[in-house]
Amino acid sequence: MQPAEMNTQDGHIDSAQFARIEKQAKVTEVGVTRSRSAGQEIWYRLRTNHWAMFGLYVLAVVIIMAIIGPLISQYDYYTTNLDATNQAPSSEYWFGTDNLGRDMFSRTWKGAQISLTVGLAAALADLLIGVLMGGIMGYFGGKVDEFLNRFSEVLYAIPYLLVVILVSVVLGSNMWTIVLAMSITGWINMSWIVRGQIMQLKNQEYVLASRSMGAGGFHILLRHLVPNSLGPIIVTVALSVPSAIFAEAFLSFLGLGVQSPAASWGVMINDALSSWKMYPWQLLFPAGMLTITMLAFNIFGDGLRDAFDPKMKV
Amino acid sequence: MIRFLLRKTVNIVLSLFVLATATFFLMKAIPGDPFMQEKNVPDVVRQNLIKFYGFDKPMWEQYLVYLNNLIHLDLGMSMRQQYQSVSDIIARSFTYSLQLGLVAIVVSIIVGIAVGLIAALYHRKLIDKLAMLFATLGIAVPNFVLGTIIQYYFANKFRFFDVAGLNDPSDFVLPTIALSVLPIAFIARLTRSTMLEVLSADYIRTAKAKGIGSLTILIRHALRNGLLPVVSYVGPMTANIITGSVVVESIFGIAGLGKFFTMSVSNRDYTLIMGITLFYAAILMFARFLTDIAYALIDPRIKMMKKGGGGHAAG
Amino acid sequence: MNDNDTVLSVKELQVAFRTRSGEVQGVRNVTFDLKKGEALAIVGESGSGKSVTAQSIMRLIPSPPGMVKGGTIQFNGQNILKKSEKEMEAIRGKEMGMIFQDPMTSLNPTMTIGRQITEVLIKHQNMDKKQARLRAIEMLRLVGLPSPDQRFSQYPHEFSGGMRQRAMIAIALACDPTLLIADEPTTALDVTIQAQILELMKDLQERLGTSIILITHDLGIVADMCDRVIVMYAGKVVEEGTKDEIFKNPKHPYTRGLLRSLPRLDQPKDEPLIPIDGTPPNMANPPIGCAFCDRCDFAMKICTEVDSKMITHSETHASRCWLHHSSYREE
Repeated sequence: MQPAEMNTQDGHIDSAQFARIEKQAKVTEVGVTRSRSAGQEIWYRLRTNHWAMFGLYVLAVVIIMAIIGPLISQYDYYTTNLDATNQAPSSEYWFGTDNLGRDMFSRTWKGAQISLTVGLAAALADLLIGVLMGGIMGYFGGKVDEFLNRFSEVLYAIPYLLVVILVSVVLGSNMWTIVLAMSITGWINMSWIVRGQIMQLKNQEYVLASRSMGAGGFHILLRHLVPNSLGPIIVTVALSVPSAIFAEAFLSFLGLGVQSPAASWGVMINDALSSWKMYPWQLLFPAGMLTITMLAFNIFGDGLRDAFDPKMKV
Repeated sequence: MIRFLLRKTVNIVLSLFVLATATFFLMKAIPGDPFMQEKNVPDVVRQNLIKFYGFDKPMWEQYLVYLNNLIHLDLGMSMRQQYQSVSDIIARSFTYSLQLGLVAIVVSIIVGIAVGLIAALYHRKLIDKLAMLFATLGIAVPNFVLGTIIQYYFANKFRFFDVAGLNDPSDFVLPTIALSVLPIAFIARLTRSTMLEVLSADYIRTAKAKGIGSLTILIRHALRNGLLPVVSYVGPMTANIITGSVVVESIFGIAGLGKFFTMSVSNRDYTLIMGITLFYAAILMFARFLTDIAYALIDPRIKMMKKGGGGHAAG
Repeated sequence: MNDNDTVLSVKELQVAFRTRSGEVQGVRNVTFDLKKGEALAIVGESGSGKSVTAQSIMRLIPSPPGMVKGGTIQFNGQNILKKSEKEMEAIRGKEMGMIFQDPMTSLNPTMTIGRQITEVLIKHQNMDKKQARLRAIEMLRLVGLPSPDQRFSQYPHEFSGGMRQRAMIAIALACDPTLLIADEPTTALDVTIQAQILELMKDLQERLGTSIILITHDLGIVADMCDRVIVMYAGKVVEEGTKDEIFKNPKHPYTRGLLRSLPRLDQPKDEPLIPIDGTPPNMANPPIGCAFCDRCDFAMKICTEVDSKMITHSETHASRCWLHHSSYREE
């Protein structure tokens, strides 16, 4: 407090100062600031997360290149050229060539196509099976839940990659058998998440309310439960893409990947391993792309999780 | 407690049985017999081989024989490694894998917790950001790429370590790094996020209000609660290390289980594939079993009498 | 006012929090005293600075973002704000104890109740485990927990909310502190349990002679157990007086508003409860005048320009309102 102010306070104050004024506060306005919808709020949080947006941009570039990359190179990805084997990157071959003289630039982006397709398809399959199974478990509960839960526990006991390997050994390897192999146990995590979410939501007031108003079982499931479980589901999908991409690369490393001349990043890495010390670009481009893509998916997935659940952001 | 253990054990046996059955029929579903690929085998020899492996008998009989053998821990003869039983191969190679795996697990837990803890304590500081960058990279870099690169730089080029084998302690360094980076990254992230949550918990404030020193609070109050999720990660980590070892052992030429598994896959040694798969699954289930017990011992809120239901640790 | 009986003397305390939208003034020049054995209530709505004041006394303000910008806190003759963290550790839990709002989360879930009590005894009273155990069981009995021997080795999840708050009280009082700060101790509890906990605190205060600061937003619970009341609004003390003065003769429009919004047994049935319109001001940019004037039925020109200082009505009663200035005449 300043001395001057104190003086005024202790001394006489002009009566004009004590004139009544209008009360400012009106009836309390609640929630004026909350004009954004939940979706906008999530998008806002995601957009302001630079790290996650960086991941998203990187993914966009990789996806665009996967589509147009093989087209803009003057060489296709499968023609061998024994006069130009193991060429270093140059203006002619931007990423160099492999041991059969195939253009690494085309192959890298063709590999992106295959790896991304496998990753997205496997994530999609996990999503469909997982939501269905989780929905059944969570919604019906009781015996059905018990049985399916046991069943998934038994399946879950087997390491994911071992199942993928086993099934690939049996079915042979092309892109779609690999996706099939991955989705045999890949859905379990998703189903548990959905199941948990539904169990949690099932007894909440608004679901009880709509039930008491006579809404049918399936209607409730679609109308309330799925939208509310959307956050964890989307995040799980976003994070299961990189693990599927990695699994495909891993299979290729074991020689169970897609067959020549098609090439995924894993196949290219495996091909390069024997000679990469002499021709490092043969490893660098597919391995680098694989790492960058996995990284981008992971940080984007983390950003999504933070956007959906700001409480978890620390 | 006993009922809990019993239920878990039954689950394990059941899972193994289902897996054994599934692998058996999967292998039988492969068209042709396993010796078709060998072109210059005379017909007589081939018939003898088929007889030796019992492939001429009806399917159900083969299955029963297989199950019976399994109960006696007899996983059959390898189809490619001459005169060796699958059990022998596993027993021999597992010693290497076990050593490496245990070292990797211990290193992962210690380093992972340390990194996560430091990141949490220096939240939002540079060191936190660096640790999280490392953790994100660790999850993204495929272990076979990492293994190859560190082998080249540290063994081939600068000769700090032997390129291959697992003969003296220094041989553990590179394979352990290649195996541990992923679990370290996971544990560091997990530790960091739970520690941040725990450190801002009300009971930590209570402890402060009691006049407990900050180091004691960290050790006595925060760590125990903050590390619970790490305990539940031990199961998935074992799975990671098993699959990681498949790659790492091949790269570093370690005659462990992983290397035989890679070999059996590439030369279609079906009995060996089946045997090792079952063995891996058994280890993994055992690890999960230990995790469940540890978790129940550490967290008083878990009632072991009650049915597990509800919360599955995702991951 | 400053006799030897004074346990705690807070003078011109200012606490601010650094946030993204600027510095938020949590506590603005708060001054009060607390005598030995006295029960003082600090009343205000959330954000009024009452909890921040309490946490400043314990030096539990998380820093960053919080910081004490000025003032002094004298506790048992020592300036709390000048203490090192190590010296504070010796004071906290020993000379001052604190009870928090949510007993469900304020106890460590993986530690037995007994251990959580003995911990503080071993730290401050130089007891060995055995002595601490005996004392802890005695404390559990004192706070009215049945079969304390068994309770000693149980975990928080085996306790109900009310029982946990009793255990919290046992922890806070284990070392027989001079000062007990209770920060909304009953807010998270059922109404019937609230009464029990208050009863217990009152009883223990009389028996042990502890001075109590009760932080609450609920004037209703104040009447039961406090001698003196401080009303805070927007980080400032707006009225201070004995329980009777505050309840029977409130001077500040905000205090009157609080009382009017409170149901009372002696009030005529048809008299409505009147809420206070509006919301507290943004403390990142506090108004230069009276912070309450936007919501005040008696707001005057001067209120928007300068805030009043505390105007005394009696030796114990004072309020911060221009309505009571000597130059103001009802027209």
